[in-house]
Amino acid sequence: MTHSTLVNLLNVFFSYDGATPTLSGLDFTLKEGEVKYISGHSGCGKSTFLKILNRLVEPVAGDLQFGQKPYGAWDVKELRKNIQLVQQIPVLFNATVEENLRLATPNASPEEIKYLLDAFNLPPEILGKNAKNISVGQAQRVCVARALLLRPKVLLMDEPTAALDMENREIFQNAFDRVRAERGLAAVWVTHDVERAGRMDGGHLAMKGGRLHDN
Amino acid sequence: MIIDPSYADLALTGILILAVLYLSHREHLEIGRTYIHASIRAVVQLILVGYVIEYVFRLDRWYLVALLLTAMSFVAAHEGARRFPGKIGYAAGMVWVSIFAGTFINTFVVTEVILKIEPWWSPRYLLPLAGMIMGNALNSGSLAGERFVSDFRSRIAEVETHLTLGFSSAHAVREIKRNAVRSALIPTFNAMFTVGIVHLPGMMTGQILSGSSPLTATKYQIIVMFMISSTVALTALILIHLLKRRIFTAAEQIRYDLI
Repeated sequence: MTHSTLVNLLNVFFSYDGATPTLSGLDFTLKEGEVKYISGHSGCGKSTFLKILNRLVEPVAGDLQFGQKPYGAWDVKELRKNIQLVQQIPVLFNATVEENLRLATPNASPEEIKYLLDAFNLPPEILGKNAKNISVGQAQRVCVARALLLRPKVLLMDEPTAALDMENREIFQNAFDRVRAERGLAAVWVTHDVERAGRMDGGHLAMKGGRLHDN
Repeated sequence: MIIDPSYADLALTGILILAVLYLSHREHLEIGRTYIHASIRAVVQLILVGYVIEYVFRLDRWYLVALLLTAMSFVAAHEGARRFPGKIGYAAGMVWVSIFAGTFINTFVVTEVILKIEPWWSPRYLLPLAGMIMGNALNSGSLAGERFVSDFRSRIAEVETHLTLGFSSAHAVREIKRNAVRSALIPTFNAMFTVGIVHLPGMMTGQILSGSSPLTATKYQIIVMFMISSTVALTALILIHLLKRRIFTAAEQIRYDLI
């Protein structure tokens, strides 16, 4: 089965201060339905890389394409909906969990919400709770579900299991694998846990010296 | 008959200052130095401006009125930008545009549409009204701008979350903008609720003291009140609009280097 290329980055440079490069000459390709795990020590540019993929920040130089079109040719809001980013620290607003889930998708069907709650092992009664009163682990999963309601082609996750215990990590991993398989979702999963990344089913890249290396 | 206080009479108000200085010393308030500094500055500025306005009245030329108002707007912008947090850049320029626009529109409506002053630049009307409007525009700009930037900083993760979910930057800062405009307007609303009951505003008091009928003073005060509230809202909105444009790129990205 051949999968077409979804995201293609070529020779990307980025620097926060204009002097020290965070990314220098980075290349990256992601195909439909593919998942890539990215590891590297903290501060090496993993999160920045995700922000560039979501176009939350602009690289200094480089060619970026999504679906055969340059990033600049996309309406940035459409691009971001297609390439969803879930950041490391979950951000939920002072409202119910359901309102938070529906923030960007007010017309999401109850069935789809139920499907995602099930998949991520969140109890149905959580919907009525204030999002400020749920655990960090739950908040992280709510954020992923919120992103998935937008039906993105690509899901970017920054250390999504960092706040979870072993049992919940397994639950999260299984949910992610299930949703990904059912929706043909492509994903980039950033983790500092090199050993774990190596064991995962999918490509594993290491961020070093501002580039991604095969591992 | 209007009592015109002499400079010797003015010096007697020093008794009030001395009383506060004594209390500051006794109660360890440590406000003495600032109080003296502020008092001297206020007296010098007021006397100078009194002479300047007297001079402008006497020469009675439109360009002098315009020059004076322009100079005031630059000082206001400088003062407003000085209280501004962060490394936004062009702060004085943005504050000036918002103060100028807010002041110009409201002054025009009051002097040309409502009062229909003749000639259009009559300094007796234009200077005090525009001055009052500008003072309020300055306060509004400072309050709204400071609040917008500091809230933006502390809620940057929320803004980012909105952006990543595909919302526009305008949507992402909607609540921050609302809070900033409200914080600028609340002192004005509070004043409107208590005006006439708890306090008599300075302008109305001044008019009554200088011999106007209380009813005329009241009418002016009503005009002034609406003029001020409209100026405050307009200035805050314009400034926040400019700030938002500065903080975001055309591709709806946050300029982290400015925040």
